[in-house]
Amino acid sequence: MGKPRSISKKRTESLDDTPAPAKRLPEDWRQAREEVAKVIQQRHTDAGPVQHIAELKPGLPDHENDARFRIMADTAPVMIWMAGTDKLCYFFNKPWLEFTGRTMEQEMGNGWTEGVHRDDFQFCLDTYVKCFDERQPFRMEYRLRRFDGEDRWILDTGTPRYNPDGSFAGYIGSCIDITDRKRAEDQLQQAHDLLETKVEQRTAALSTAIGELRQKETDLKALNSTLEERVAERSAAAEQRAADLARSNAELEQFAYVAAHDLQEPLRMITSFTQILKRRYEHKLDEKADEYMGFVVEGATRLHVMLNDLLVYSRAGKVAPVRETVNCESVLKAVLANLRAAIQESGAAVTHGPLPTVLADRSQMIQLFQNLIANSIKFRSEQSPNVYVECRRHDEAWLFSVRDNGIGLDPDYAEKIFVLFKRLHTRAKYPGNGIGLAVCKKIVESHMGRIWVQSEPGKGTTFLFTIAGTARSDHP
Amino acid sequence: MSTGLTAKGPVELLLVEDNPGDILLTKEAFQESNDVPHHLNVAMDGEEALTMLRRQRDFGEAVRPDFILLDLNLPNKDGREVLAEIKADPNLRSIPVLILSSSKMDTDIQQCYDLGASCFIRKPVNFDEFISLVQVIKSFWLKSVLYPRP
Repeated sequence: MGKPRSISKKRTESLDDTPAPAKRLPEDWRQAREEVAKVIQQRHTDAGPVQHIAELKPGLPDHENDARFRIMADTAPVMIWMAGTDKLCYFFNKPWLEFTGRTMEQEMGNGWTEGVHRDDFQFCLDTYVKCFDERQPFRMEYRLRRFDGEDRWILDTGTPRYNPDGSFAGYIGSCIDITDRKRAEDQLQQAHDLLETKVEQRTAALSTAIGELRQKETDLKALNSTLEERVAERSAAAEQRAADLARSNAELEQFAYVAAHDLQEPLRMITSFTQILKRRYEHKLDEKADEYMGFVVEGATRLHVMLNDLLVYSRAGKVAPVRETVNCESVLKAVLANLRAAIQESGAAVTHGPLPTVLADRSQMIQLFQNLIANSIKFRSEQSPNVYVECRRHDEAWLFSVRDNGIGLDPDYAEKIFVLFKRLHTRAKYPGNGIGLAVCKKIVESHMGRIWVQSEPGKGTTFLFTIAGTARSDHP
Repeated sequence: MSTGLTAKGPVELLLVEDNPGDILLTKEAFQESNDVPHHLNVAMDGEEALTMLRRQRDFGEAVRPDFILLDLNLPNKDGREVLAEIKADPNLRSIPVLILSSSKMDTDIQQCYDLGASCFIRKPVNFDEFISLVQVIKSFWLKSVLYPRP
């Protein structure tokens, strides 16, 4: 096929226009053509508003100029174009022309490419040419200028056409405005991108938070191990203390054993042989010898008693005394039985108020009361001794008092009397080694209490001590 | 027929004691009054005591004691072991054993009685008291108590 003849660019509206000068036709051919034109005109008039009809192109098969095709093409809701085997477009349907706002003449050939967006032109052309040469169908998206100047996205689908005899006839394509879809795609993309951004932000924030949390976890772990170290230290320290205490207790036991056992024997030797000496030689040597022997025996005897007292003292107030429910009134009964001889001898009267039941070591409680009451009897005045024992609640503890009408003591010595082996009087006046009150103090303190004295010389003495309050103790 | 120990002549006493001082004191206390003639033989440790009692080795001629005074705190063989062995021996177990304890730490009196001791005494520190005690022992165990004729 050769190059198409150029056709006037003006739109033709009526059939009356003179077509392109044609070669001289035979008379009957010309007549036939005029008749056909009339028929067509009539048909169109019957049909309605004149539809645009493209110029008949001589040299092309008749079916291409088919009116039905034209009506279909122009009423389709899509833009349609047709290109010949030379790639040049020779037909655009009404929707296309209405879309671009151009005439068929303007669009023909490559005229339509003037509406293609500058940025899409090359891609568009390349796709078209390549597929065309390969006789391949194509789909391409490009922007085409609409009649109002707006660039719209077009989806252009092109398909190769074949003649009934199978020869290639060119391309036919349809286009739809996909601007809205594109916009929607853009919006989707934007939304997607926004979402991605947001997700990234949130992920970043989350990572930071997780990082912080991890840090806190690490800190906590560090704190935990520090704490555990401290606990271990404290436990170790407590264990150490317990071990020290156990060791000190063992040493005390050891000491007590030594006092009770190992020292007894040499002491016995001293005492016994001095006594034999005295027996054999008393009044056989001079008076001085008698006096010396007297002191030796007495000293040895006292030493023996002190060793015993030391044993009693070391055993009093063991670190972990037995804790049992002890009725103090029954304790007092036991004490009075123990001191019966001294009570009778001195004519003492020991009375008491109601006494509670406490949680304590019974034998130590007996020892405690016994020492105090024995002291009251021993350090009596000219009157026969009166001893009164009573008890009342004080803070969370029991406050006991042992009051006597004895010789009393100087308050300056109130602390001294509780010291082991410390005495306020000569042994000649009042016997004893001075451990009674030291033992009392030890017993009271091992029961979490305090002991003290109130007294004036010649005005009697009151000993007061507390025993820790108990969870279950009844005041009778 | 039974008889007091004194009836047949001097009482044979075995004192098992390692402390020379205590040995002397005991001798002195027993000699304080002359009412009971006696021979006081001494073994200074548990091994020696048992050897004497069994008349082994050098003690083939030893006299069987009528009465044993046993101190618990002996150097090698402990007094309780000696007591146990005496009471396990059919030849020896009828001999009365009087436990003399010199230590306040000997608190397991029950054990001594379980092993067959006749009685348990703590040696008083005071010598005068010891003399009185020995008098009581002489008067009761040696004069009053009856024993089978050997």
